[in-house]
Amino acid sequence: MIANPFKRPRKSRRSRPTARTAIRPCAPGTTDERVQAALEVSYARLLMTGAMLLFAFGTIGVRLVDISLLQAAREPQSAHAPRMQELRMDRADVIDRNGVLLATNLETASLFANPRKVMNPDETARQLATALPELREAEVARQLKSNRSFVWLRRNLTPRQQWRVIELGLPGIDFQSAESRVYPNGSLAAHILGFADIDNRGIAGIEKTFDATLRDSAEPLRLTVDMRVQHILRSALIRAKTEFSALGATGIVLDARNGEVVAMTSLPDFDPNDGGNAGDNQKFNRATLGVYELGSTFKIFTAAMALDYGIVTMRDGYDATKPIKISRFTIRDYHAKRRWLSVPEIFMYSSNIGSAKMAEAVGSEAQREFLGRIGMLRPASIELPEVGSPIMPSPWRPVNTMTISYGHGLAVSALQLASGVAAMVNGGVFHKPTLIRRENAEAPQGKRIISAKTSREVRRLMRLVVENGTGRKASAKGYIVGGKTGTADKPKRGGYSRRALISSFVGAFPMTDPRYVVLVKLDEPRGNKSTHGYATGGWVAAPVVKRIIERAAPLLRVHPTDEQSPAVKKELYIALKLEGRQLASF
Amino acid sequence: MKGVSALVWIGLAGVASIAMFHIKFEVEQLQGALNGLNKEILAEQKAVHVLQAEWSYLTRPEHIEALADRLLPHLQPAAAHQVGNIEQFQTAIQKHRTIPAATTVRPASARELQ
Repeated sequence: MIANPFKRPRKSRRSRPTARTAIRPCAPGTTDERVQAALEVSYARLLMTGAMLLFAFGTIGVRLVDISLLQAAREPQSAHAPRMQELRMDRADVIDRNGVLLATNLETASLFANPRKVMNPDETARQLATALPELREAEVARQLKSNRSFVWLRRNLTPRQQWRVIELGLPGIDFQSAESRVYPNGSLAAHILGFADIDNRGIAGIEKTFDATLRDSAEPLRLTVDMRVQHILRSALIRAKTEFSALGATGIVLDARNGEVVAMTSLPDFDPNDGGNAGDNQKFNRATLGVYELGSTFKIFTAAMALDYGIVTMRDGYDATKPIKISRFTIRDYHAKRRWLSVPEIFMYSSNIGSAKMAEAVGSEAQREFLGRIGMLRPASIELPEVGSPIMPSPWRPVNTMTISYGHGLAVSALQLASGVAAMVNGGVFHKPTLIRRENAEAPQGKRIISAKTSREVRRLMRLVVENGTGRKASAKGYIVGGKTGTADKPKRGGYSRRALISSFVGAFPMTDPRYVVLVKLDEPRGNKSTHGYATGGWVAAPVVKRIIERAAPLLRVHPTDEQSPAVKKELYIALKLEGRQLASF
Repeated sequence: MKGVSALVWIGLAGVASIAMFHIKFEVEQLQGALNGLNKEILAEQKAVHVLQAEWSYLTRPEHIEALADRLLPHLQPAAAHQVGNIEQFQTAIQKHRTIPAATTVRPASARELQ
């Protein structure tokens, strides 16, 4: 049995003298008393020790319960404990109208070194150079010998490159993972997307306009662009640019009903993955930033304006026998007929004289107001930072009214022209061009410019150009293409250059109820054997439009129609030869 | 009697605390498992994200066109005359209905309808 150490020894208990006490002759008092005292002391000590232990264990116990149970909620979680959530990158994706990924952030590793921890700089540099051939060994060795504690060796490695470096197992070499912007489609939509710099800040295109949105949102940004059509447009333009040795080429496919840009290309272009190294000529957006005097395509507006204001009807016409001399200009016709021309004929033969007279009859104020309403006098409203301001005459003299009627003296961007033409053919309603896909509910209301009746007449005129006029090469059979050619002399110091042209064609299809507007513009094309040396819109730009429509229409769900069917013929009927007047003019 | 009830209470308290600790540790373990799963999900999402970018790169129209030119030389862009509608299809069927009725195989349902 173990004696209870805490039990108070009873006084009555008889203590036996021990040998030890016996050999202490000098101890005070009797033997019994001394034993008693010693026991008292040891009892007190034991009690103290016991109490202290109890207190310590009690404290630990209380704290244990406190930590493990009561403070469970505040217990620090592992720093990297992931939450159940969607993956979120620094910058949201950009997708096309069908959900194709156009721009995304990917995690990449960047290689850095801590030179103080590198053991053998020369050997390390040699090994790194074998793993990453694009590194220069001498340069790396120099960096590794520096006295700093951090040097970037190479940013944005591919996973394979990273693996090769890891395999070397070099001390003092490490990676920092960062996100970098990737454009899987390369140059395909370069000018629309723009690009982001190394710190993921958008510095051009959509990336710049929606920089804040892309940073804040996890939702991808959906564009109106269809990458399939974009490719068709771009490859057709590349072909034409090479064929006619043009300086540049521009193309736009616009939804005529709501102003959505389905495709837009400006050549030369660049790879947004390496946007920082692109040249200025490559980065220049000829579709929205460049403003040009676009020539005869403006006759669409002149005719629509004159018809809508009731100045002329389809049965009227003007005498185009002689060139007009006004101030220092002489307005003459390229395809001169030297006779009285009806409005459809003026349009079909692209008569400058007829158009000028038509605009003169409308008047400068009305013309200015009309062009203002279809957005020709303001920079195009598009979600891109690269937008050019139109160059217009000031003051707007009668001579300007005349030259602007056939597209000289007012420089606008290709996008402005395309959206203006869309308003002329879609029933007369102007929609601001847009690159951002909206749900049907939030589609902005258009602004009525001309009556539905006038719009129908403009369609007939445009169809006439492709059927019998200067735009015959744009006729994509089955899709009832209509349009207008434009060939403008490029302005040079003190006048116009006869050799440098801006050749364009703006068309729409199907003309019975236009769905899409297609614009092609070539900058300084050179005629070749196949065009008999001509470099005009009808020879170089119209065939490109045909090629684009033939390939893109099935993708855009435009059903081919029999162009010779009575219904189509009736809808697009135009009385070209007018009895009496025609004869009288001769 | 007093001692017995005290023992019972102490016993109950002991059982309760053991149960509490047991549940507590189980929760911790599950939390760890959940974190692991979430980490895995995130890793998978990252992988999917990379694959999406890769898919977009591999299916860029330029690339597909080059492949089609090389591997499908007889495939041409659809011409307008190759596109028809369902009415044209029906008239074409009627035009070609010169096969003798006896040889045509009709489903039972078609017979019932007549």
